[in-house]
Amino acid sequence: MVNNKYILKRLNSVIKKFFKKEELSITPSTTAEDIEEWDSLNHMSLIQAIEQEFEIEFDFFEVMDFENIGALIESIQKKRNNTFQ
Amino acid sequence: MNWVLYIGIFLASIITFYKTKSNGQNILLATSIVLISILSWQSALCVIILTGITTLLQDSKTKAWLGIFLHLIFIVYAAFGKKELTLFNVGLSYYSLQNIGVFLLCIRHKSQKYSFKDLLFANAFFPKFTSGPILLPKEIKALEYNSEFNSKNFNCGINRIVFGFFKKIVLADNLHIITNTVFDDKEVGFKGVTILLASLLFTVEMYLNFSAYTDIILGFGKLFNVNLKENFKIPLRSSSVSEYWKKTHISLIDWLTQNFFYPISFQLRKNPKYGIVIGILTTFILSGLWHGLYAGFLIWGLLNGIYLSTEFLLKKLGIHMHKLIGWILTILFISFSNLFFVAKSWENSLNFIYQIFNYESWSFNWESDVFAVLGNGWYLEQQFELGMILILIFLFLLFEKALEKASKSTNLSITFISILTLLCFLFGSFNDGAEFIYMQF
Repeated sequence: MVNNKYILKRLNSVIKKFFKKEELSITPSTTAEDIEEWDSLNHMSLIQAIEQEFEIEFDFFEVMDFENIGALIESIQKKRNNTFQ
Repeated sequence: MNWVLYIGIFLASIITFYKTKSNGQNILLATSIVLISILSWQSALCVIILTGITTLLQDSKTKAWLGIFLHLIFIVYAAFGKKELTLFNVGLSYYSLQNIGVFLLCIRHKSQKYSFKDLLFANAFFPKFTSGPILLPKEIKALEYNSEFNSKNFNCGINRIVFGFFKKIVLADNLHIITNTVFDDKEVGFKGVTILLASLLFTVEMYLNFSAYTDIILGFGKLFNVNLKENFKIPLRSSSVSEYWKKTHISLIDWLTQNFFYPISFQLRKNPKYGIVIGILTTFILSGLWHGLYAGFLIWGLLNGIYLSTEFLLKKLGIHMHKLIGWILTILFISFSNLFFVAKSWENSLNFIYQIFNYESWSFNWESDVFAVLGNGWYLEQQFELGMILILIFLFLLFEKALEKASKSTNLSITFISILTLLCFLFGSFNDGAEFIYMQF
């Protein structure tokens, strides 16, 4: 079982690196609207960076349905657990 | 005297909506179909038929492709058919995108289950029928009405309608008199500087005209407790082209982003820069062509796609611009692209380009070549009035945030309403009757 907190921590570092902003801090309830630089233009590039970090692949409608970081973490956790089984 | 009839039907509808126990959605649908029928019965029939087609064909991929094909037949025929045979086209380019959005969701994701009534409500609700906002499938699902009287919504509706009429009659229509001198007769060789100044003013006019329409229809929606999607977020203060496009005609850009930009940039995400640039260019070329199949609209879309891609790539290289410089460049770039929007045809576009880049066109006299043209001649009285209008527009743009906040207030402010109404009577352009620009698309 991959720990949620561990995923959040790694996700935070991917997002910091992606937006080149050390002070960014995310929680499960963070949404794209909370981060100024996170817009439709770079949304899919960020998804790609997350896919690379966790060695997973999302489905298009999964990505479109993520309401916040919490939903993203849940999806990563599911995919990671499936990989390790 | 169609206006009297429209107002009569509207009043009857609002009383029935709040005072009887009949189903609110049925009342709104009946009102909408009656009002559209008076405008053009062919369009009323068309929206019913295309909504019926969408309801029937939304549950399998093959059927959904057929649905898109049938919609395209209507759209292409409306664009190329004889004028007397295309009277069904009112509102078509707006609600057909909503229907195609449902089909695309069925094709890419899963079968959809929208009821005929919900779809017809989203397509034909009378305030939004002629010019949007265009709703995404999830927004169609979330579109609600409530026939319990809510004074806050009602007040807000009145404020926004008055605000919208002020923007349209006082600001946009008067500005139209100035820009029209240059753009109405596109063959006349005006000086480059005159054309460029007119294009700056046209950018302001187009925003005021379309956002005034949005204020009015969102206000009418509020009178029935229907919350429609905002289409503008004060775009003329944007310090980048990407910010401008996040705040202008939001519903169309959202629709194109969901249906084209996201799928393309997701498919090509392994090579993100390439994917994003292809996505941006596709989105903006389609946005241009959505306005009409003219070379001018295509160039307009392409230019905006190029601006946005360049800005995106510069940002990736770590190049950021000072906000003030960014704002000046954004307004200049957008205005330059709007020249092609006004020009529509290839010949007119070439004519504008020739005048701007022609060396001789830049030896000019400010008084006779610029002020006299933009001021519509040298009549002192007219000059004074146009000068007042430009001052009013400047003040409006300066205090726009506060004014917009007041227009969205849930309290009825007598001062706000009386001042705007008074300005409408003092400066309003009633005789010109300039149309809402976005009703033609």
